Formats: sequence, structure tokens, C-alpha cells
Amino acid sequence: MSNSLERLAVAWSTLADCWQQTRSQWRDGTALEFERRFWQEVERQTRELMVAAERLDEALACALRDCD
Amino acid sequence: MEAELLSLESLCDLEGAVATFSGKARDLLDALRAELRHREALLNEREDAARQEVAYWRSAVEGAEESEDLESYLSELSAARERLENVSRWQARIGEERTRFTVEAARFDRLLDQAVPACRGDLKAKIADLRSYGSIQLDLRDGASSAAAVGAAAEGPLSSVSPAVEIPVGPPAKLTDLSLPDGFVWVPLAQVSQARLPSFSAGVANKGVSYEAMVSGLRRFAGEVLPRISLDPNGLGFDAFRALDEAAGQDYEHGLQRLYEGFFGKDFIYLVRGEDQEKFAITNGGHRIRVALDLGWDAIPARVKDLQE
Repeated sequence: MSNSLERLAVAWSTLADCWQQTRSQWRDGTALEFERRFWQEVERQTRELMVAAERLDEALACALRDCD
Repeated sequence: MEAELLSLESLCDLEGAVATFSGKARDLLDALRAELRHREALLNEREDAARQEVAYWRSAVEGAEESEDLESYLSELSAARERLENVSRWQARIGEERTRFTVEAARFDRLLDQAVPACRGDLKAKIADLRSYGSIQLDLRDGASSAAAVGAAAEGPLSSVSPAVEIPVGPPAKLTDLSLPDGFVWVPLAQVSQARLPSFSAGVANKGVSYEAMVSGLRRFAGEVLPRISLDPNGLGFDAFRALDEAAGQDYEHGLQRLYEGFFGKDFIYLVRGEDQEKFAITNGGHRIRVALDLGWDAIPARVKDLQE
């Protein structure tokens, strides 16, 4: 995996842990609204970016090995 | 509300973590793009080399029609063509993956540019709200609750109370400590059946009132209506809250009278428990109960018909 992708995964994991910690204490309607409006979208988009980057990264690694 | 106050520090942490992630993610996405471009360039170089190789051996074959090396050249040309086809196959596969990545990266850029700043804005507003609430609680503990403090806590535009209507108020330490008008009781939400709780679809809750407006309304009801009623449960009616609204220049739609009537007027929450039922069934007020649960309330003011009594 590329160095940048690894670091992005770590940065995301840190934020996700922080959200879990906050969510366990934040239980009002605003938390639900926040989760619906922002968090789920941020989570989905980050995941899809990382999946797409991983696939391209892996394909490039395989291609360079195979075409060496 | 206690739970919200406990989350203030972690909310601040979350806001900081979102800011940190946003900055890092932008830099890392740029670096990732550069890394991937670099590796694509390496593959392009391999493709160019394979093309040159094919051209070289094709030329060698053309120039060696009668040569004894022709067979060897043809073999080399065939191998070079295979290598070129192999690189081309990889290029096609990578083209698909690159398109997908480019689309997702553009979406992620927009997320960082638009959604994340909005997200941080909401978190900051919530933090400010909780800080304001915390200061009011301290005031109450010191016996110094005031109309100004209530104004600081209000989510709506009602920020002061007319001196002509002197009703000291403030958010309660515990909702169920507050007295209710005759006929109403605090019903623990754990005793209310949630089997038929309504859900909110597309942000619209009930009678055209959004979920967000209901959340705001219930919080104002707890912070501004119930404490006043508790001082004189049967003496304060809708007219007192109308006077407060008028003094604050507040219309009915956004005022306290409407909140009062929502719970203690004709549209009160009504719960019924049969002789053989463990929990109360909701006859009226399901949406308010749904929001109260989301807000972490332990109980709700309601009229009840309890056949077990």
C-alpha cells in the first residue's frame, strides 16, 4: 500500500475512534442529526475513496511487477 | 441534559479531530495523487519501451527476409508483441480503476471543501450551546437564576422576559422534580411501549413540523415552560405564556404558548395501560415521545388512563 494511503487510513481511524468516544456520551437529538447529516456521509465518502485508491494502487503494483 | 454536559469535552475533541483530519486528508490526497501519477508514469515508460521493442524487431524482420536470422527475429518480434499486449491489458484495467479513483477523489475534495466546514460549524454551535447551558446550571446552584440566564439558554429568538411578567425560571436539575398541572403526571419512558413509535421520514415529523423543530421545541419546553409551571402548576395557563410571548415580540408559531399548549392544551400526550399490559400504549403524542427519547429524557408529562390502578 502506498505511504500516503496508509497515512490516510491512520488519520481516518483516529477520527473514527474519536467519533465513537463522543457518540457514546452524546445522546441527544442533535447527535442523531449530526450523525445523519455529516458523519454517515463523511464515513461513506472516505471509505469509497480509500477503496478506489487501494484498487488503483494494487493494480499499479501488479502491473509494474508483471511488466518488469 | 446531564449527558450533554458530560459530552462537552469530547465534543471539543471531536471538533479538533475533524479539523485535524480535514487538513491531513487534503495533504495526503494530494500526495496520493502524486504517488499514483508517478507509478502510472513508470507503467507508461514500460509501454513505450515495449512499443519501441516491437518496432525494432519488426524492422529487423523486414530487413532480414533472406537472412538465416529471420526465424530468430520473428521469435523476438512475437515475444515483444506479447509484452506490449500485456502492458496494454494492464493499462486498460488501470484506466478503469483510475476513472473510479478520480471520481471518488473529486467527491472527497468536495466533502472537505463543503461538508466538513459545515460539520465543524454545527459542532461549534453545539459546544457553544452546551457551554451556555453549563453556565446557567451554575447560576441555579448559586440561587441566582434569572430571566437573562434563561435568555442565554434559549435556542429560539426569545432572549428576554418582560419585567411585567416576573416569573423566575431556569432549566431543572432533573425534569421529574418539576410539578405538573392537575391531571398530568410524569410517566417514565421506560414504561411506555415503543412498539408503535412513529419514525421520521425525509425530515418531516408531524403536521408539517420538522424533526429539528421538534427537538428545539422540546428543549425550550424543558428549559422555559416547565420551570415556570412548576412554580404555580395550576395557576399558570396559556395566557401567561402568551403574555411572555407578546413581551418578547414572539409570534405564536415560535413562542412559548404553543409549546405549553402542545403538552397541556387539547393536544396533550395521552397514554393508556390495560389491566394485563406491562407498558403504556401511546394514544396521542408519539412523535413527541420519539423526540424525548432521542433527547435522553427519562420521563414525559402526560395524562394517563391506567387500568391497573
